[in-house]
Amino acid sequence: MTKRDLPSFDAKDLKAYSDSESVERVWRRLEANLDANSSTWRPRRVGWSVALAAATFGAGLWVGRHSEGPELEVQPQLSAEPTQAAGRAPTHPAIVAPQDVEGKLIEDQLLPTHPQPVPGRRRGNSPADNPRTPDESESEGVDVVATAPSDGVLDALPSAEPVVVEVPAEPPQWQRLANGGEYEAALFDLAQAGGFETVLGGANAEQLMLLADIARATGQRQRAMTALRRVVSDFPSDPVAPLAAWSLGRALEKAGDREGASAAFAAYRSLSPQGDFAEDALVRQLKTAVQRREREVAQELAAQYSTDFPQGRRRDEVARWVAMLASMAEASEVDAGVPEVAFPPLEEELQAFDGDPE
Amino acid sequence: MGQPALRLIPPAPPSGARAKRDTTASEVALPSDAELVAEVLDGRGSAFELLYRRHVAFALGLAARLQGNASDVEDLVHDAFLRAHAQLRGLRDPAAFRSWLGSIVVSQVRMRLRKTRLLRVLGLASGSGVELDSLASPAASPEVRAELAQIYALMRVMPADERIAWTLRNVEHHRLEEVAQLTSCSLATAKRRILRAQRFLREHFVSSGSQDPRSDEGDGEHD
Repeated sequence: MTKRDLPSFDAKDLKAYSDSESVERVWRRLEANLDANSSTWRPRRVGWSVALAAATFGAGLWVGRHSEGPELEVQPQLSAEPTQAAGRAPTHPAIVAPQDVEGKLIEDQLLPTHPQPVPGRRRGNSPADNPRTPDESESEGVDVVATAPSDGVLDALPSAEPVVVEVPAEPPQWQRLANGGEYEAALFDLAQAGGFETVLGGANAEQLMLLADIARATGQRQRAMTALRRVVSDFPSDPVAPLAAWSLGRALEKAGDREGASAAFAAYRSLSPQGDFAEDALVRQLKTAVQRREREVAQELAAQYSTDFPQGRRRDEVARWVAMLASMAEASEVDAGVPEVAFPPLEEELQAFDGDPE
Repeated sequence: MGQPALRLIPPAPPSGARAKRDTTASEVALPSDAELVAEVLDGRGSAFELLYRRHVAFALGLAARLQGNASDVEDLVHDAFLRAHAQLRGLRDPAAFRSWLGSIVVSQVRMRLRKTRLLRVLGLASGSGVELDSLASPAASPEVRAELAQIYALMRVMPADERIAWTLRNVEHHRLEEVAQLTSCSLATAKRRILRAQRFLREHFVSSGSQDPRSDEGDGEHD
């Protein structure tokens, strides 16, 4: 055993936290709290935080002076083999480690064939090497690093039958990088993994949203929209599908594809009729219909708005558009079949009505 | 805590360092952090869900690695987002939402670590241990897992501030300036904390073999 410089850890060695179950669980709680009156919890939490901070500050000072030796008491799971990770299956079965199609690995693949010295193991360490905890380092340090199997564990295994170890599917490297905000590196890794389109073909909803992020961050609008379309069309029941539809609508709107945008906003309303974006989606559809001179469609959407959002935030805006529709109707009565250029002020007026920061 | 105008952690595009390129990318409609923050402040609460989904993995990972386990990490991240939502109006640089959220997570982890130590000292709790499965990727080699386990076990006895600073620098790989901002202290203080932690860990970290040293203290940033 030797002492040496401290190790550094690569991102690929660290667990990625894109478990959609956790994400959804936290969001449900968060959403419930946000929906509640925020004033009921804010003062309470602040008061509690101040009290806790004061208590822990004083205690922290005391602890800092009195805790000397490393308390290397480690929970039993530290001594467990990687089999302990078996229970952490990802929500999306499509997320599988590239080397682990069936979600299983033979232990021989995971661990050295022959027992090897375990780095960091403290057995045999002289007390002089660990002046702060001469006793604990001997008794507890071993357990701390016993993630590799102990000799006894391997000896106890039947030698003829390989032990199958469940290994949780690990997100691919590009996904880990994208989750960390390293989109260019993720794009590079995607190229290594067969290319954007290849990965997109086998991606689940969560991965498609990340692919859209990557494409957007690297200026690839079409790819971003393709990924979003895939979410809406292939994973309509996934929780992220409404968001994908909404994002797609905005993307198409800004790209000038009004018809596509309107369809995407309609998809959002269909996927999440009571969603927080439903009102905006409906108004954007209405706006598109007015811009396209689709009076009947616009009238239907305006009526829908009145029904769904009688007290909506954008009702004044909708009322102006309804007025605009009426003027369009009058104009068309005077001169049926008027081309779009017959309404030069319309676009300007719509711009004035549109409160969006575009 | 004030709302520092952090712009250090690579932000989710199209914010932060990618602002210039995002002038083009803005045509691709996924809204930037700054846009979403503006929408939340404008009363469109649903924009907050986009912010949440964009940054929750970062927050969960940061909290788990700072704590050394996944115990209550969901609670912590939930509280961090809740706090971020409540204080969003005080955020000076909306494009730096990610960094700002990170500083909230760091602050909450620090409080939790101190509280845990206090309860442990008072004999009121056994304290949260190190959960290797919460830290290491299943794909990590046994050697790396062993190193992680030992480092985190040693860090349990370190003061919370030193532990957090060292983790941000050596596990999360933030620059020193980032560590200082995330922990709301001066650069000099951040350096001191990292160095103290580094000395302690070097004094006690033991490994077999003579692998290549991979110290980061020699990178000159600590001095």
